[in-house]
Amino acid sequence: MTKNKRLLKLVNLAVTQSFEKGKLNIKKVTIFVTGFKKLPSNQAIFALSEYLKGIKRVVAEHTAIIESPVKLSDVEINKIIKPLNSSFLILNSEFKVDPSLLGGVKVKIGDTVLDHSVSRKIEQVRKKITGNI
Amino acid sequence: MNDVLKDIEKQLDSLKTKAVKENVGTVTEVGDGIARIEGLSEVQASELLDFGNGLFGIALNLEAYNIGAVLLGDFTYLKEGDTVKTTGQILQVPVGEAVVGRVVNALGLPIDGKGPIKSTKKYPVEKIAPGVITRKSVSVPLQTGIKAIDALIPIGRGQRELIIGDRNTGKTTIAIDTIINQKDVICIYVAIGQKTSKVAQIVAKLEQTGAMEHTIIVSATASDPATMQWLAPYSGTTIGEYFMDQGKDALIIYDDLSKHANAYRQMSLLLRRPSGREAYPGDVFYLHSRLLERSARLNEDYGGGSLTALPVIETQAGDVSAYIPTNVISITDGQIYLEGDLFFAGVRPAVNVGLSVSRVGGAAQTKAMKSVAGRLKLDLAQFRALQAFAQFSSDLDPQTRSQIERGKRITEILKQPPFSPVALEDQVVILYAATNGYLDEFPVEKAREFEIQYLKALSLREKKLMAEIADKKVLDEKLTSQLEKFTKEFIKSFSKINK
Repeated sequence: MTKNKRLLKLVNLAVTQSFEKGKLNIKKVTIFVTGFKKLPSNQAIFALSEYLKGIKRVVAEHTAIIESPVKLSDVEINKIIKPLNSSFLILNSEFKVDPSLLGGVKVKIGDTVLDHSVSRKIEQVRKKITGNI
Repeated sequence: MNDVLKDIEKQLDSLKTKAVKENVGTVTEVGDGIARIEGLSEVQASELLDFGNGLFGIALNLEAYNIGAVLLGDFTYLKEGDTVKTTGQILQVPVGEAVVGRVVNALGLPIDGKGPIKSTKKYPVEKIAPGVITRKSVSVPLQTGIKAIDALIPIGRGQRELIIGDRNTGKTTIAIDTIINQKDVICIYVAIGQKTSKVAQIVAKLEQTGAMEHTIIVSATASDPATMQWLAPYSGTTIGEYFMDQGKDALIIYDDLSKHANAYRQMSLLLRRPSGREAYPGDVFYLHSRLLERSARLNEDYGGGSLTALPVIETQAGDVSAYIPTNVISITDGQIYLEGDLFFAGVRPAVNVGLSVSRVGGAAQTKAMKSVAGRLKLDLAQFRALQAFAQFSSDLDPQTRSQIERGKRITEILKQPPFSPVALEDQVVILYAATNGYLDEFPVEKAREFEIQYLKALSLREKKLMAEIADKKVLDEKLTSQLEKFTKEFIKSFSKINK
C-alpha cells in the first residue's frame, strides 16, 4: 500500500462528490468503488481504504451520537437535536447508554463534543478545589 | 480545618458549572514519544493537547485530516482509539521567585523533592523575541570570574556567547564558574541530554558554593524522552524572561545545544518530516535562532532587564565547520573556543585566545580591565606569532626572547583552577603586573606563586586601593602610580625568597 499523493487527492475529491447535501449517494459510491477496483492492486487497496475512511468521516460529521445514563425516548432525542441543527447539519442520530455520566447528556457530532453531563460538572468542581487546571 | 472548609466553600460559591464544547480526536498511532491523531479539526499549531490521565502533548504536524503530536510524559499506557482533546492554550511553565533555588524538569515541575513550587504566575514556553524598539545595546559587563574570558573575550549582559569545544575540554566548568561568580544575577542552567549523575554533581557543587540560592536548574537528562530534551531550553528561557521583564539581570546556560539538535532530529524523523544535511530537519537553524534571539538587553522604558545566554556546543574532533556548530556560531555574538590540545598541555581553562571572539562584549568591559587588556591582547598575539617562528631557530635576538618570555608568563597567569572565580580588582592588578613585565625576572614556574602572594599582600596591605578599583572600576593615574609603587616593593621582597 504505497502512499500516492495524486491518488489521495482524487480519493478526497471522490469522497466530497459522493455526498449530496450531506446524504450519501449510493449510485455514485458504486461508480467510484468499481473505478478504484480497476487500479493496480496496491493502489486499489490504498484508494479504497482512504475512500472508506473519508466516507466514514463525512458520515460522522452529520451523525449525532447522544449519550445519557438512562434511555431516552425519541421525542426527547429530537428535542436535543433540534436546537443543534442551527450550527450542524444532523441527518442521523445514534443513542448510547453510559451510566458513568451520572446525569445529563453528552452529544458528539464529528469531532465536536458538547458535554452537559453531571460527571463533567463534578470534574469542574474537583478542578476548582484542587486548583489543578 | 474550619479554615480549609471555608476556603473551599468560598471557591465553590464563585464556581458556575457549565456545558462544555470540545474538539476531540482519536489516537491512530503511538510510538517513541510521537502520536498520530485523527480528528481535532480545530487544533492550532503548537497547541497543548490533553490525552487524559495527566498526559499532555503538543500538536506539531497539521495535515488535512490527521495531526502529528509529541507526547510530554509517560505514554506507555496510551493506545490506539484513545480520545484526545484540544485545550486552547499553549504550554506554560511556572515562573517567579518561587522557582529560584529549585531543580525542575522541562515542564517546570519540581524534581528535587523539596515540595511543590508555590508560584502563581505562568508564562508560555514559546514567545516572540523582544523587538527592536524594546532593546538596548550591551553596556554592562557580566563578570565570569575567569581571567582569560573577562580580559580577552568580555561578555556583556544581554549578549549571547557560545562556548564551543570537544568533549572534556572544560565547557561546563566555564559555565559553572560563571554561575558561582554571580551575585545579583539569577542564573538558569539547562541540562539537555546529559548524564543524570553529572547534573547531580553540578547541583551538589552549586549548593556547596552557595550559588544554588540564585540558580534554577532545568533538567532534561539523557533518560528523559527526546520531547523533554527539545522543550527544556524553551522552558529555561521562559523562566529567565520573567526576570528580564522584572528589570532584573538573568543568565541562562544551555548545556548543550548539540544534544538539543539531536533530540529535535529524532522527533522530526519520527514525525516523518523531510530531512536535510546530516539528517537534521530544514528548520533546525530556526530552532536555535528563535531560542537565542529571546536573550536581550531591554532599554529603560521596558524595565532595563537583561537575559544573557551562554549556549554550549560540543564539537567532534575539533570540527567547528559541522552543521550545528556553524549555525550556532552565526547566531551568537561571539564564541569561546576551547581546545583539547591546550587542555592536555595544562592550559586550563583551555581557551584558544586567537580563535575566540566577543563581538559586542568590548563595549561592556570596565575601564579598569580595558586599560590592562589592550596591552595583554597585543602581547599574546605577538607571543603566538613568535612562538611558531621560534621553534625553527635556536638563536633569538634579545627582544624576541623577551617577548616570548613575557608571553609564557601571561599564559601562566591566565591559567586558573576550576570553581575558583577571581574578583575583578584581583584580575586587574595581576594582569597589570604581568603586562608591565614585573614577572619577567622570575622563572615561569614561579608565576602562579607570584600571583597568590601578590594578591594576598595587596588584600592585606592595600585594602583601600583594592576597594577603590572595585568601586570605581577605573585604573586612573593616581591608582596606577600607587599600584606601581606597591608592586615594586613587593617584587623586592618576593625576589629575596625566590631568586
